[in-house]
Amino acid sequence: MRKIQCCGYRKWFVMGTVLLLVSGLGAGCAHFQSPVENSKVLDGREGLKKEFKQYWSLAARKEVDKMFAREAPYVQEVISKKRYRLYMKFMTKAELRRVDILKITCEQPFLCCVDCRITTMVEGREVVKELRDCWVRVKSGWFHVFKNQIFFPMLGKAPVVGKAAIG
Amino acid sequence: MDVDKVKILKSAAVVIAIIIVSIVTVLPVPASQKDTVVARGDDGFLVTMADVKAMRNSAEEVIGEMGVRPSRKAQVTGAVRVVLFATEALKTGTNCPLADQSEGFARTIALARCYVVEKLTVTELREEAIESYYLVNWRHSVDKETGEMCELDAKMRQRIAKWIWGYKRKIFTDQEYSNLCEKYNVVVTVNGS
Repeated sequence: MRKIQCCGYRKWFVMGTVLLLVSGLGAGCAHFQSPVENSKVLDGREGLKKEFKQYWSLAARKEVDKMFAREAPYVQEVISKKRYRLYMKFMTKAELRRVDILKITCEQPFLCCVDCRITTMVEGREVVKELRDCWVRVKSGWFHVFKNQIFFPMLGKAPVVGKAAIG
Repeated sequence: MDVDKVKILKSAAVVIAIIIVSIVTVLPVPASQKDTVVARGDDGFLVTMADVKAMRNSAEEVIGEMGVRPSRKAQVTGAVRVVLFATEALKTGTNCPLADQSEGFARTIALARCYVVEKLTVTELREEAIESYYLVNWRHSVDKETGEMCELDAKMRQRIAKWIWGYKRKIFTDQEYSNLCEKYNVVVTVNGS
């Protein structure tokens, strides 16, 4: 009788230790699996270059609705097409002559920025500007990350979604 | 003229005066005439200053929390918007048990809320909207202990969805307001500015 009681305690002790170890190993969060690894879309940079060129060709033709469809899916949800059109109408006033890719930097396989040189014609004068254009890759492909903290402040002031915020 | 006739005429004048005074002061005047009309439209659509006041009173708590009082113009537009949504809710037969339990302007607000909720529930949030947001803001999801990026779990998904829905709701109500103004030919007569 005593022996049985002894083993019962030991069993619980062992189980508790195992549970503690398992919970210790599981501290932190579940590891993220990048959509790029599971994706069947075009290879990273080639696909990005293609999308980049298409986006800027649309800008040159002032096809704003088609540009909107190439914005990151969350951007398409949080800003209205009407406001985007208004903003782009103003932005695409200048005649876009050429866009040259200078460098592509990827801080993650799914998030890359394209440093480019944009040549426009303003009142008969050639104006050259350099800008950084960022792109995100989800399962269905690359999307432009539209950011403008003045006209669309919500895109710059995104809430913290990480572990710290969730607690 | 004899004295009796004069007396009769005098009493008749008093009675008529009493009747006129009663009509002017005692009889209820329709709300639409008593209040300043701030907006009107087809199918008897009418918003009065009393509606604006009721709207302001019901939002007093929220206004207090925010610490910012909306402008008079925003109050008028807000009331017109609520009455429009409530009108459409009644017309389209929106299911709204909350409205059955409320009265007065609280009922109008309940109907407007039900209308927006009913319309929004048929709208879906694309999974890629949540995912793309998460990926763009990946730095916020790095575990400080391991330095690795956390998985997009249910809690995080919910948090992002809530943020997106906040803006989606605003876009929807703005669009719907514009559509209904057109549908009812609404003319805002007093902009409150």
